[in-house]
Amino acid sequence: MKASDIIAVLPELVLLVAALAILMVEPFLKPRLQKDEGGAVCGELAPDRTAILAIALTGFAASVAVALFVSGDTRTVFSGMLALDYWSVFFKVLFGITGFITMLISSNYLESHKRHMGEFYALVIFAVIGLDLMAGARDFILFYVAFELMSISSYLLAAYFRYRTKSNESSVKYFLTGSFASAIMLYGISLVYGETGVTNYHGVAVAIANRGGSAAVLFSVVLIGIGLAFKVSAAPFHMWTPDVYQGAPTPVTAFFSTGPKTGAFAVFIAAFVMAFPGAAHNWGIFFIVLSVVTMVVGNLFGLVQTNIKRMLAYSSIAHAGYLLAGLGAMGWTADTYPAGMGVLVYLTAYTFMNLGAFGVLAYLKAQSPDKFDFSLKHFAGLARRSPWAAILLSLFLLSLTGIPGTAGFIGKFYVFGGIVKADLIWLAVLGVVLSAVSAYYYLRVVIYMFFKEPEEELTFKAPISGGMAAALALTAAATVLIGIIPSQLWDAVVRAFGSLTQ
Amino acid sequence: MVEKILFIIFAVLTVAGAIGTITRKNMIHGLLLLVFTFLNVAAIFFLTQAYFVAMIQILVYAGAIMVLFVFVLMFLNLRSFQQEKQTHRQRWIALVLSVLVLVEFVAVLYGVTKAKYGFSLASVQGGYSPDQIAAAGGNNQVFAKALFNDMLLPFEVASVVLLVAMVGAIIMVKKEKHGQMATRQWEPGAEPALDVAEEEV
Repeated sequence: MKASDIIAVLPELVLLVAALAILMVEPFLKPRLQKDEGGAVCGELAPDRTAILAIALTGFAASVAVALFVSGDTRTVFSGMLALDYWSVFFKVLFGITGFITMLISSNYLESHKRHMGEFYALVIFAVIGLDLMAGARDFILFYVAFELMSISSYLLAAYFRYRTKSNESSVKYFLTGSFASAIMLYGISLVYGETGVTNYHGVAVAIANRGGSAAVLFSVVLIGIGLAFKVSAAPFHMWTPDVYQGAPTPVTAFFSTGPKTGAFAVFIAAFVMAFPGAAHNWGIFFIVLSVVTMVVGNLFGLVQTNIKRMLAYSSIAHAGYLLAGLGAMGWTADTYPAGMGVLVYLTAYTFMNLGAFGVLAYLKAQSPDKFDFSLKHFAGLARRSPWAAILLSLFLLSLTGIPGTAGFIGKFYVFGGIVKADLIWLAVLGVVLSAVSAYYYLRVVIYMFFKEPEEELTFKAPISGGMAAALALTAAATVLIGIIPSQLWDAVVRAFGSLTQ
Repeated sequence: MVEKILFIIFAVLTVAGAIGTITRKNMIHGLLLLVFTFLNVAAIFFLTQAYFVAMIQILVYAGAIMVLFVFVLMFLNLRSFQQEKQTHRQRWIALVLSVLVLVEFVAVLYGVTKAKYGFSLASVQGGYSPDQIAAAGGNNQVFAKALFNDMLLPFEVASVVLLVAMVGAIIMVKKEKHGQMATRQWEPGAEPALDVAEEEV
């Protein structure tokens, strides 16, 4: 290791400093004094956590800034463990923004649920550090350790409301199934090492090319694929998704459905393209089979959900299916990567629209924590009570459906375009037909919000304000902008892919 | 030849211990079998001349971690554990599928191993062979060099993972001074009536 190797991990170091600062500052915050009408002190309230939010936001902003600043430099550091290239910068920026928006959504929500702790922010930051390293890793060992860092933070975030039965259920399910998937993946990695004697992506590819592949390599590809497919909640490894998404705090669900998924896809592409190029056709078939099952399961089960949070969980399964179809097409053709670039565009679009949709849900829940239960009937007549929430949620749902003019359309356009280029027209047709099916359950919510009379009046007192307003404005702007002018994003994606496949 | 026989003995004992661990109803029996499994794994490490890893396996797993497990189990109410019934109904399907997967594993790995090494206990290509390790100054030197040079970054990230585990332990048990959510308690078996809307988070 050289001293200059540190440059490659600077964005993560910035985040680490922010997380440690939060953990250090938290115990020293002074509780606010509760005063009665006369102004006399009658009790203590939880301390004001604005300082902690500020540290977290600064950390993410600084991390993104540093990542952009060091971009352009291309090298692998720490004896081939970690790469600094456009690919890792692309994902570091995306994860930084994901974390930033999650922080903004969380603040009001946690305050209204009376469980506002600095550790929450620290855990999200730790998870993002893990994601950053996953995207930059060029070695199975580093990838696995980073993956565990991300996973363990996620299990803890799912259990954040530890007094609630649903939250406990969610965390235990996530932890048990997640550890099981990790073990399967680790077994795959050990097979790779047994076959080749190295763990470096590039070294694995060289060793396999020199000595010829074997059934054990294919086996390990499948095992590693299963471990990651669990994280992207691809069917048939999706069983945990609705329960975990329902039981986790809504801002955490927003993070789960975007961050870890994007991270797993980054590894899917980087590891499989770099380490197993010879078996590309085979893992292409593996992903195509997964994607067909995932798209069908996600969309059909989504149709019958009446709890919007669960509905969005199935929707995120369906979206994982479209993305996997893109990966499948990428492996199928082996040498051209239009579908792979489409996957990156889709991931970016998906990050913004899903964060936005869950953000609106978090706002609604924060407004009446003990009444609102995410059931469809509570969305009836929302347009009159809280017009901005209704309009924004409609925008995000339309984007998830893939209506032209929104980010979702651009994502689907590039992915399905890539699939058609790979001569898998039947797969593209299946995807488009199933996204048409998905319109039913997305648009049903819109119809409830605008055209149904509410059965019971839920009061949503405060308008969208503060951090929540900033988060929703950011995501809505990104959803519309990517939908109208995707060229900047496309350029970044092409550059990222260029540095990966060199 | 002796090595081969010893390896087979220890491997069979390891697998037997692992199966015993997951099938015992009594948790303490399960734990003791787990220690037994760890010791057998350590023996296999000895056979492959990875002495350092073997010692670590005994000290850390069989020693430290197991003591922790035993402590935790002693604190928990074991009797209520034993009364728990399994509620899933897919045991037989799971059995058939896992046997199928096992057959697949064995078939693939058998074929590969036979084609490559003809069943000699040669070391894996590309890794460290015992001769290389001896030339580099012994087990500890090679291990330390690998850990603190090539594997430096994963090593540091692992320390962050430990930090996260500590933070997590704190937020799971920390008593809240200002929060208004109370711990709910009920007798084992008595189903609590949950407030549906409040349970949704």
